[in-house]
Amino acid sequence: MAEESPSIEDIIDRRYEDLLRFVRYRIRDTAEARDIAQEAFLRLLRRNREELIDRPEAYLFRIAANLAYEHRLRNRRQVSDGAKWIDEATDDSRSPETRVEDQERLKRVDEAFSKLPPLPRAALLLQRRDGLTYDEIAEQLGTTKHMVKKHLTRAMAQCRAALLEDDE
Amino acid sequence: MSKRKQMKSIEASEWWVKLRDEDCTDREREMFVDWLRAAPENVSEYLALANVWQDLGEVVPNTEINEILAELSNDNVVPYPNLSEVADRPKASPKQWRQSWFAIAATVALFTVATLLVLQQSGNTLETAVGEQRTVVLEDGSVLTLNTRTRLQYEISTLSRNVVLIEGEALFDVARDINRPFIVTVGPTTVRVLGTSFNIYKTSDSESTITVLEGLVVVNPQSNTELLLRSAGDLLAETGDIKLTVGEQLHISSEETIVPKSAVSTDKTIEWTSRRLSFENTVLKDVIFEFNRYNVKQLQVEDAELAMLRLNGVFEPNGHETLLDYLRKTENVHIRDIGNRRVISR
Repeated sequence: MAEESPSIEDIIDRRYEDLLRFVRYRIRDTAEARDIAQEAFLRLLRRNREELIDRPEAYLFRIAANLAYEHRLRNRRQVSDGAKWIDEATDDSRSPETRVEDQERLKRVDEAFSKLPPLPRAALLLQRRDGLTYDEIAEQLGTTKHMVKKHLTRAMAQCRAALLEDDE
Repeated sequence: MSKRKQMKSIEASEWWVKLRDEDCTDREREMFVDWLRAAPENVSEYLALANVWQDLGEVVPNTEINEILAELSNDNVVPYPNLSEVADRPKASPKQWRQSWFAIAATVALFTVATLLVLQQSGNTLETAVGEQRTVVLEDGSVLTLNTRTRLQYEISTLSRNVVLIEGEALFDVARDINRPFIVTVGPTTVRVLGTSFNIYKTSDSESTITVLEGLVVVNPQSNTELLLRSAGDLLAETGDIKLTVGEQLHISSEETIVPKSAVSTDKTIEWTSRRLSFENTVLKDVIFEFNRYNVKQLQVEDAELAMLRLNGVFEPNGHETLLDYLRKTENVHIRDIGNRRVISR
């Protein structure tokens, strides 16, 4: 059987970070990179189903590259395009402003996470750090899978809310 | 944060969590893509979660699971000031006891009357049509999920949170608030919690089933105003508060005063939230009762023996075809459409 092409949710889950890195390498601004990554996803979703099914990842990265290019033209920022985007191990080409913004974000998420009630916090920790399944988390916390899902929903929504305050 | 924005981020978080479930179906995945495509806002909310997830990767390693679990054991004791006081007073002399019961009964009665009046005047009504399900976030952060053909009223004030389940079934995920008890009135029964999760299914005017998914719930099966006033002494002596915890279920019907609680599968209780009906060794009569909740067209069995046929299986509640196909194959039944009914016979 032919290998199935990845679905949208797979792409968002597995490739979002790569995409963000890919864009950030090109424009060196985290907040802008997020906007561009989002725009790329939006454009991807606007395609019809057939196009979506046929190699959506390649399409996504192509849109992102184009958007990043347009952004650079607009901002006339000189960024070397020569290096490989995927290797970011030594990359700290972020501007000082961006670095401060990123720190601020982390601080907020950290605070929101620490303020979560114990069960949602424990569930999220077990999922994010230890990669446990919902059933495994339920067993560890002595609750049901349904409740684990509720806790995780709440945890994610609350961490997200912490970033919203000055977003609007 | 605006309420709309809050709803959106809860919606996105629900998808986020659902997609990471090993049991997530293809149909759900398709629905997710439809949801993403429905509005750019949905995409941005979902990606915002992807960002949070990424940030969390740097945040969570600093946390110790044991510390959280320790907090949890401290947090587990949920105080129910008024109710536990009542329950822990068996040593009082009969006379005192009777008086205090009367006082409590009268207070509860007044309170219930007041609640019902307030709700009738200013309560918000939530409703679902046949076959519909709906999830609503209340002002206090509690989440109510209504099953098919359900009607309830709610009122959230600074002092209390009240819901009257008029008909149907609802899942309550109550946000914890020590200062505002959350009280659900279902027929003659009141269910009182501070923050927890439970399901109530009102099968008829006099019958309902309460199942606890998390935390502790205090049920008073007979807090009907009339009953309380009439029999504040003797009857209440037998029917005080019943405490339910995780996985426990209480079935209340008018014929019985004290109903023993039983342990049940909580996953099964809330299977309806994933639009599934599953039956284990259930008689056809009861299977049909469940199907009829979800469909305008009502099924009916004519043959008494057939009505007692035992079934196993998982079905989608909307539409009868899967069930009827199954019956046609295994039992050689006839199905006739008469007006708004579908009659099953041998």
